[in-house]
Amino acid sequence: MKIIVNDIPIECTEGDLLMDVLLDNNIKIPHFCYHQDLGADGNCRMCMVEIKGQKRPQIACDTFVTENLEVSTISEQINEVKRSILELELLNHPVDCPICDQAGECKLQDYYMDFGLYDSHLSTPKTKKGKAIDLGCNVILDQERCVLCTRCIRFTSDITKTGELGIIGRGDNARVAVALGHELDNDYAMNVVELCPVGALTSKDFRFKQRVWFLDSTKSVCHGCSRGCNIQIDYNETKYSAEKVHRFRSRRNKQINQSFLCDYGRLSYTELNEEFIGGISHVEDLKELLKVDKKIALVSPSMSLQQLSAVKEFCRNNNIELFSLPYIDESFGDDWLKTNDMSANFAGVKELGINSSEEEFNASLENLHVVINFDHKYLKNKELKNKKVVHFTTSNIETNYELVFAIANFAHDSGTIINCDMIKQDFYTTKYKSVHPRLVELLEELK
Amino acid sequence: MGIKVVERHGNTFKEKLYLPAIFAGMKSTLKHFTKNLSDASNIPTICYPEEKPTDITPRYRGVHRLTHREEDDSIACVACFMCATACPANCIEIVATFRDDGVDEKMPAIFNIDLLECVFCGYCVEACPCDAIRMDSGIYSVIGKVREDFIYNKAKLLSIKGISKEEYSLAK
Repeated sequence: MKIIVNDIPIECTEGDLLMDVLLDNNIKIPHFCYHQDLGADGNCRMCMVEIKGQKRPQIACDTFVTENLEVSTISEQINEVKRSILELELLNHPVDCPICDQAGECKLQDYYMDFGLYDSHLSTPKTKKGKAIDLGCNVILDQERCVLCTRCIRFTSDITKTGELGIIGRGDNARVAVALGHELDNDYAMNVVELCPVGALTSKDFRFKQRVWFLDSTKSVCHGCSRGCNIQIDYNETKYSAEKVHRFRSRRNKQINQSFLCDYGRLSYTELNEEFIGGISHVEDLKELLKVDKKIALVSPSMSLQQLSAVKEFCRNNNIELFSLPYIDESFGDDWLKTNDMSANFAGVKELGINSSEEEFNASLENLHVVINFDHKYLKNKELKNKKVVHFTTSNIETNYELVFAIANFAHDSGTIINCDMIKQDFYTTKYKSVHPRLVELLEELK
Repeated sequence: MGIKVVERHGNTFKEKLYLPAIFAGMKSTLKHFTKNLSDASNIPTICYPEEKPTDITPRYRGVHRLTHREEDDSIACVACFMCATACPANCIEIVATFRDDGVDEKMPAIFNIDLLECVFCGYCVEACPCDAIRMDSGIYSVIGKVREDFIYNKAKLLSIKGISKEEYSLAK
């Protein structure tokens, strides 16, 4: 069926929410409380549209499309409505944008530049509320900046079902708060920071580290567990320091993680900043070592299909027995995004037919002299007497190995991984080149 | 969308001709030229550096300084990075940190200006929403023996006094 938005016909299906149709067609529709994965709440009134035949403006987030619906999002009247609502939202806002971490990605700021630009009508002092309240779980609340869209509240009540947050007070004094003596406490708590359209909820982890306009983003996939949540890596390179990843943000994927990410995955970005410190090994030394007969290799199940194939080919050419053991943590998984399999691509290991039996690996390990470890954590605490170990690593390691080759981590590499539901996903490399070579390039050199 | 349309100046016929204004400028230049040519002893010059200039105005862009807050003399800067963002020479290095003295939430832990890279354009002053950085120190010559002498840090920038009467940040 067809609807008409700003005189342009748009295709949609019956029963669709007008808001989703507008958002999917990239029509600018301001909104605070509506979120595609939290649903409509209808409290912010920012998404007002004019609908032909209706007396008053209607909210797009609670209107379902019907045949030949005529909608206007840009008329004079609608802009006036948005301006007035925005003025109300900003009435008690502290406008402390220089301090606020949300500056640069704040919807209040963006909409003000679109519809606002007025002088304040307020003749009484602004209502003062709590600032920099530590809610726990790396979340800091600033009640003054809040526009009461209740996204965070709906997240804790509908999604995590922990219900820590709520609104207390009425009118000017309404504010988001946790129950007295309680604090935010769930494995997904940091999602509220991302959900917050303004700077009311900020992350203690990212707070004051960088201004967002200095950051570059790359599409990637979280390597924390086999769920394969879609993420965006935010990173930059400053004049005085090398490239650094500053945060992971979730990227919407309806099939996998919607718009959410667990705190473990979100904070796993720190691994990417671990710098490799150590001696430089030479390819010639490895070639020499490979002349020995009894060799075994262990490859990390978090490596991409491209890397796994390259390793497999390398092992076949050099007569090496190849294994890949899964990372299983029974205590990690839950019934939502987290899975017990802590590797990103174990499904890929199985698809390529790489042996993953721990008994067979240990039995083989007994008799072999050269062990090649492709960034697997299994050998970390293992006694390896009379064996020569070659280590390909993405992060710093403490143990003294025979040969150590630093390779680029997943932020500096691109590839394909398969998640626990057998969905194949690509991840991409960041803008700045790593100082370390990619594993595939390194193996190419060894041919 | 957020754009202010400014009407163009110079709509009269005389202004559109351009030439009258050019000749008016030339007249001024020629007047000084003939005056100085006839009486060279009266050309205003000073024997710098023994003699120091006395006509440094408050709007002269000298070395930067960081202002203080009037209430408690603490640093006015909130490390919003506006100056560093506006800086075309990329000479300002800021590292922000929490501020736990109750005055504000944020302040710079490190604030360095590399004066060897600075082009003294004054964009940082323009960009500052807190009136925390100024170039009204009146300092026109910076001397150092090594490159590090020209990197002014937070303490140094805070210690520089302004020549205007406005000692503190005027931001509210």
